[in-house]
Amino acid sequence: MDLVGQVGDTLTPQDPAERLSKLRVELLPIDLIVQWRRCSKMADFLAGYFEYHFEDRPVAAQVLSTGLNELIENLAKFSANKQKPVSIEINHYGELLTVTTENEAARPQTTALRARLARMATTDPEELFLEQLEHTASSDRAASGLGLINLKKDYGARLAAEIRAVPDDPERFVVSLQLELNVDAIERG
Amino acid sequence: MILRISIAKTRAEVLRCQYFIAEIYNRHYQIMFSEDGHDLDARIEPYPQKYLMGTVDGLLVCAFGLYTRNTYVERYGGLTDEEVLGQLEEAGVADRYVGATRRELTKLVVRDGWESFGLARMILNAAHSRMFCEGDWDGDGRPVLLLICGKVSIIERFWAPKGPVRARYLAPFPRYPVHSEYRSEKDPMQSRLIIPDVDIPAALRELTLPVELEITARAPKVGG
Ligand SMILES: Nc1ncnc2c1ncn2[C@@H]1O[C@H](COP(=O)(O)OP(=O)(O)OP(=O)(O)O)[C@@H](O)[C@H]1O
Ligand SMILES: [Mg+2]
Repeated sequence: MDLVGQVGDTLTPQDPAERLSKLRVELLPIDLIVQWRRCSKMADFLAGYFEYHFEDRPVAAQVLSTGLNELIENLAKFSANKQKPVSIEINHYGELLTVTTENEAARPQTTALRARLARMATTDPEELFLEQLEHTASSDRAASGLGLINLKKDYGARLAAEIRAVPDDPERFVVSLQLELNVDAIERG
Repeated sequence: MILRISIAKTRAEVLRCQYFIAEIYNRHYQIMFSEDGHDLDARIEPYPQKYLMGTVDGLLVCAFGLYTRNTYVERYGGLTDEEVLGQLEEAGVADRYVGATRRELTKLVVRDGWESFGLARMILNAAHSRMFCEGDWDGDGRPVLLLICGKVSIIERFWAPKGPVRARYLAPFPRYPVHSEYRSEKDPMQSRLIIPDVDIPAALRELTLPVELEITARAPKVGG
């Protein structure tokens, strides 16, 4: 199977002229590995920066922080080269908010991500959640594998990735993962 | 080439050791580190409080850490005071270690590409110097007992019978999912105790740090 290409939910096309806010952060994954709490600190900071767009700020900050934390932890865990910068970009379009992360990943992680997003695009998140719970319980693995599924199940998020080849390295891929949330789902918690 | 083994003193040296250890532990064992709380199931571990570093021309090539308190063996190994006391009594030194503080040698790492110099053994032996492992780091002047934990194959390679320091059996290390791909039935994990007075040869115990050692690459073993 060719890994390169688009996978996951169909995202809403955005008109750049409609964009209200943008924030982009670049960091080294190793900094997160060295002090793991930086994941949640970065998530809280970014969520706090965007909470002003919402009427119920505490709820919005909580939801945004949860979602961002999941994506940031994944950047740290699944970046193939921990010394290579990764990015997080948040855009707010009034009705929608998107989070885009970009990192390089090795073939096995990219394959798993692709399979997971493809499955998530066609299967009910509640069903996937139960299936994954059973799988984790029987596999003695430390990670629950529920991170992305939960974002969809709890907040109705849409998730897609664009996977590109890395020139001169057939075992590495650039993963651009995009999370799209309706602003009312963020405020509902 | 000269390997210089020294105790990390400046904040910059400590940070270099932490980045070095975190990078290697993450790559091999998917471990993360944190100074604000740990969680074995989530693979988040605390840092050692002290580091011994090995450099060649300023390049950090190996490191070893010391938990001066809250050792892994005590937090996760379910170690009891009775197990320690039993070993001290057997060695006939229980009176000398009343109220002893327990420390743990941990997180031995060697830079990629530097495996053939025997660096692991050199820095590990040097870590038994009184100046490092028995330094009065917490300022309480208490006698020090050392703990280690690991797979039996590793312990027996670096400590007795192949290494110069004796490490006394304390207990099997409990099973955790994070170790499931590391340990096995044939090669279980154990907690061990080192009683400095009795188990560390004088030459190592009195070793002055920093120390400089000549290193040469070993010829590769025939057949692997
Ligand atoms: N940024 C990324 N780059 C490459 N692969 C990724 C990335 N994010 C996720 N993946 C892949 O997708 C899988 C599913 O991710 P998900 O966050 O749902 O689970 P997890 O991180 O393994 O476990 P948990 O989030 O419960 O700790 C991961 O195991 C990984 O293989
Ligand atoms: Mg995850």
